[in-house]
Amino acid sequence: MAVAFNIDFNNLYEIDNISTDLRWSSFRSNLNNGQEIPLVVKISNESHALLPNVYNLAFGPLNPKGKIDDKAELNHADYSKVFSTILFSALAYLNNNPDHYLGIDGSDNARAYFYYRAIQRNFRYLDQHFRIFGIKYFVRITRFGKTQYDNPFDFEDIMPYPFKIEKGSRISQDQMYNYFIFNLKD
Amino acid sequence: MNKSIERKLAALTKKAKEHGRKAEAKAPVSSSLHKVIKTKEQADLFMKLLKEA
Repeated sequence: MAVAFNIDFNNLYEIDNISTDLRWSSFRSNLNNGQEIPLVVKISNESHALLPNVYNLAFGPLNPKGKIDDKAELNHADYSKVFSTILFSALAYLNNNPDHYLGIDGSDNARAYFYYRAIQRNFRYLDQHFRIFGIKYFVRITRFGKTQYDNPFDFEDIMPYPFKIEKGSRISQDQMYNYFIFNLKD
Repeated sequence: MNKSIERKLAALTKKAKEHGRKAEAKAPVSSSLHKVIKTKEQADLFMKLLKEA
């Protein structure tokens, strides 16, 4: 996914299906091979008991079981239009639910880095509409082991910590955020 | 937000409310963030940090 794109909410695919609560929408993207593929944008519809205003956003083609395949590798003819349409769906949802936050999982380091680069490239535009945070997960060190075989990390005790993403902030691929969250700018 | 985007948002919202498909049945949220937060104290601290960041 080493491709650069520009977000522009005036350059969108037609959203041909949407749910009444704006959590589900679909549009058709043209691929480089001339095919057209339906893509779905889905916002989770049940909040976490402990995080009542944070919802997950996923997008991609549907697999044969009707689930979003967020690891599908597609060659879109117009990445700018694809990602602009996905984020416009998110903007429409947040516009109707201004106290909610939307989150995107970086399923692996490469994808998370791709998202981060895209945020940086489009920061000025995105910053007009959203507050964007990168989340890192920190694991507690219980104590340093007496021998090299002792495990000092408590992987049951993890603290997610949000960092506001700013223009030009730098982070290496190895230390990439685990999760991205955004909400509507005041 | 410029007027053109405001109009597009209003049109999409109208389309959803008037002609949108029925909202899907509720399904539990599944994300890495939701998996690592296990206690109310953790969640409250995280939301506090998020609002202050």
